Amino acid sequence: MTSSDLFFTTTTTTTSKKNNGMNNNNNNNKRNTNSNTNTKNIFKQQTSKTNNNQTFSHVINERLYSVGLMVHRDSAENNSSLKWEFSKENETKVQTILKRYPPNYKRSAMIPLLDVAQQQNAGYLTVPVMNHIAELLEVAPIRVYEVATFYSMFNRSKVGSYHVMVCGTTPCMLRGSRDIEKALSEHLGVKKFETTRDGKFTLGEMECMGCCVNAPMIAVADYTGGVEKYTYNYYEDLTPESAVSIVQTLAQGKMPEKVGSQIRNKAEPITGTTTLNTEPTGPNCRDLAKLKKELEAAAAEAAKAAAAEAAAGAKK
Amino acid sequence: MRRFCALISRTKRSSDEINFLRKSVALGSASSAQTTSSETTKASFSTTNTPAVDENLVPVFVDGREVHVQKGVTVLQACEHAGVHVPRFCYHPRLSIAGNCRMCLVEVEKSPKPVASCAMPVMPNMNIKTTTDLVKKAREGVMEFLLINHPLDCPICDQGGECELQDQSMIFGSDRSRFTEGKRAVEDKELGPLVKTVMTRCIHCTRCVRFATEVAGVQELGVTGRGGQAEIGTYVSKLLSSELSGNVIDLCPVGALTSKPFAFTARSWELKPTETIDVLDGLGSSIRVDSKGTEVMRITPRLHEGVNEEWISDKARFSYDGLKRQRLDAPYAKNPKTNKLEKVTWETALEIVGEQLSKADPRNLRAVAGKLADCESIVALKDVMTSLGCVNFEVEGVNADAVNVDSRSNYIMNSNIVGVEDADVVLMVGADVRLEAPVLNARLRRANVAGGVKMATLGHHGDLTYPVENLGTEASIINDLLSGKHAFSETLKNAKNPCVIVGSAVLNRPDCAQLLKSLHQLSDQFGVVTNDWNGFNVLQASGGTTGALDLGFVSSKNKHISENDGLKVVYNLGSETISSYDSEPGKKFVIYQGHHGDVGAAGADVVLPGAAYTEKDATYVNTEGRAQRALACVAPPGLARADWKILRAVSEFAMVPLKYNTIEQCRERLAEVSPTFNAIDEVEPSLWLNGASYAHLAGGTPNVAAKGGAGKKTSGATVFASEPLTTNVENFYMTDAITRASATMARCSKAKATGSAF
Ligand code: SF4
Ligand code: FES
Ligand code: FES
Repeated sequence: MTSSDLFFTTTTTTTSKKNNGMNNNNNNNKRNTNSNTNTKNIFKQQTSKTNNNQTFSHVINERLYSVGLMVHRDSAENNSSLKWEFSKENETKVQTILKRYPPNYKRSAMIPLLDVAQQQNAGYLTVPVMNHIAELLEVAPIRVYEVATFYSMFNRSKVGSYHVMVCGTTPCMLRGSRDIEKALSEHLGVKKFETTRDGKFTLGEMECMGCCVNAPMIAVADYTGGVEKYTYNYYEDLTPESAVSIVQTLAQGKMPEKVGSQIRNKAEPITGTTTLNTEPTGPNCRDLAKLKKELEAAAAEAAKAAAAEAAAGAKK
Repeated sequence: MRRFCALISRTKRSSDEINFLRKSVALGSASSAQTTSSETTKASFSTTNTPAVDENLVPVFVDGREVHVQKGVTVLQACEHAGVHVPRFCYHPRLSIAGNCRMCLVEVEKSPKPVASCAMPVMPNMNIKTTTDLVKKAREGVMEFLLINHPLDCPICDQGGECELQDQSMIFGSDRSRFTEGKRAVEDKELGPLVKTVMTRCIHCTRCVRFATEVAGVQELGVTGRGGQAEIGTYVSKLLSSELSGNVIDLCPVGALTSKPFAFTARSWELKPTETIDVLDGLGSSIRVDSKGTEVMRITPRLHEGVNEEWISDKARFSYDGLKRQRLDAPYAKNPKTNKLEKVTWETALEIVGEQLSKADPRNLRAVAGKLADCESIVALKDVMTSLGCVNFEVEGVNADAVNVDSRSNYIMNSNIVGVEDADVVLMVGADVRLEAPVLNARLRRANVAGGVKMATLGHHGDLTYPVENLGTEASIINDLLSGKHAFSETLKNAKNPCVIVGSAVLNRPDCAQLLKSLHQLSDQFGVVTNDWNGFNVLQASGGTTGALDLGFVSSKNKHISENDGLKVVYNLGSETISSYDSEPGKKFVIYQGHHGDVGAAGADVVLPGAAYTEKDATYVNTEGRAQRALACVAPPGLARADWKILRAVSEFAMVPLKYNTIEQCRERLAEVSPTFNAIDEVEPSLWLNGASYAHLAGGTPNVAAKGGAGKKTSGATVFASEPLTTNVENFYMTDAITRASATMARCSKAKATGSAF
């Protein structure tokens, strides 16, 4: 197959993929697909596996909403004319954070401060919040906006009191994160990136949170009690049922029994630990206490000898 | 020293690049430290066949050719020095290094991957390859990724034809795309009346962000989001508040930021470029005027290291639509019956003018040079009027009684424009440099931010984009400085190269003479002027003033008459501010020669249509005393003519024919009057008279005009007018007849006042 063949194959297959999704299969594309499927089976497979309900624009939107818009739209409750400040209690926290950095590198405190601010402000950063931090750090506001938009853990629009984030990266996905998402979505009655009517839960998505061994997992940020009560907990080794029950427990205002893995104690194979199960047999490390004693004895001996020699010298 | 070092390169530009780099290296980054240490070890091996060269130079090989470059320069600069062009998008010699476009990849021997040459310092004996397959493939890969999200809209893009992405994709781009996903789209940003945005075209080189932050000093632009969602913008919708904002249009390598007034009016290849100079502020920036037929289509900056580097202000760039509006395209004369100006032929107009000039008593004549007047017409006017016996001359915006024009050092920037960076303390008196000369302000900002130069001001001003110490607004503070009572005296005294920048507003104050005398005193007292440093700088407001002063366009002392007793005929060469010279039927006769129907023409009896700075070959002197040539880019409209030619004709009708008939002869005459005009584009240091210029003014004499009123008198100290010192530029966008006629400038003024573009 020549490279141009490959080129055309790829294009037409993908085009038809798109068109399938949009229920807009025109004949021309179909013919092309048919004539090419023989040459490259993999594309046929791909085509058949494509989720036909998802239109192309949907994919793009989904991607965008995971972090929100990258520009700000003024609204009555979020615009530059408003003022915001850290609460009294948090002010001391802010000062401790600021003290960690030399005065000329104040801006290093930006991320920790944004974090405290987000906790105080019910889980999201508004323009007045970011402006206040810019003022504290003596930087232009845009420098704070840049940081806040860069990190997906900073929310810039309102979230529920519990921000439930389903891990969407490959290991979790292979272990069933899509089902968990579906179960949560059905249970809460919201789609991804939406908040429940009562404002309690936002269903979100995050990329790999480093718990792949215990995949699939979700993280829940708890904004119910401001900075004091704030938690950011991982719930791992989930099934759709256990994920739903975690959310149910939270909805009752209680903490789930177990944080972290729901079925294991640590990151161990699903069949239990297989190595290092017995007491270590040695050789052991050096006995430091004994070694110390020996060294001290030797030192005392040497001191004695030196004293004796000095005494002899004095006699002479 | 900065001006004279040509370190590794023969061209002005790259020597500056190197300097920039040297500065950044001097800031002490870890990588540069490494460079130096590894260099010393290697250098000991490589001394065998290298001739004895400057030890700051290191040998590198570019495509097998050995070149010697300054330590610490980047691989890209080394390639440039070897004459090898490296494609780039984000790298710009006048901005910090971002290294984010990856287009400049080259191969370096022993390095496992291609390296981004703009961000990699050279090591001795580095073997750089730019023509290998690896390099080609790497650049093609980068190009393919850049084009993934770039729209295919070149046919409707104003950058088309001068787009770096277009050009480089001709070399490294594929003829077809392998990308079959949806392209991303980005919302356009509203940045004001000057910069049009099509953000989908942006390739995130961040040049605009770095320019705004580093050069313009307005931290408004930024990159929000990351990865595929990264956008350039202000996050919270906001207009760009810089007077230099237009430069991001030139910097943007693609069509994401383009000129709003120029949008869809012409394609770049249809334009006829003319290299000339700007006269709308005192700097005389080098510009290129692009014209189509008889119309100026746009104005862009040209490189001039001594003046504007490669930036120009928004006024210089965007006020060109004012050249098409409110123009005087035919001679006018007042109809005695209706008392209204009516169109007449050139003959009629010249006859009237000739008659008025020749029959008037020469003591009742006065000539005024406007701030945009060119030197040829000024010298012609002076010659005509002197031949008629006139002794009254005046330069717009200059209190002629006060400014001593015998020594140039009294009214030019003696340290030169580049010289302000050699200062260590700068005191600005009665000036808002950001509004009066934004490009100079960017230089001052750099001196402050990179060089730590201390900045202080005396007088009202707005945000200058760098920290300044305001000493107050009262002129009398100068007395405190002189007597050492003010804390700042100490700073001045300890400074090695102190510099004083006197705003053009000072030259127009009633107490101008006192102020200048005190400032001269201050200069001598605090070492502003020493044997090898002259930091006494006058910042003139526009292109015509320095030239007029150079040509001695001032009244001979004590011979002139005030306008009240017997002033009969005024020849106004383009001045728009002197309304007291409005004609009064039967009493005063005003001849206005200029290009715009503004204040001056409205108060005239005869109007002679002249040419604007883009329409005549003319000479202007900038605020540092640099004579520069402007070229005619388009023809003057209608019956308008080049100004010196009009005056040549006037001289015939007034029966005092000038001796020169061609522009060359006229220029010879210029050179005769002042040696400045012998050396075009050069600045000669001028003589400092150690305060002798103002010695005739007694210390405590309050020679203050009634208008100002006398301030408090302190024993022995000079008494100044009580009005606070301030700039004379209230609105940066509208300072003269051209900018007042410009719709774009009107939009800018409105946007500035209301904070909204609509
Ligand atoms: S707008 Fe232009 S200059 Fe700014 S980052 Fe995008 S491509 Fe670069
Ligand atoms: S993939 Fe889910 S935690 Fe790593
Ligand atoms: S020019 Fe080197 S990375 Fe952009």
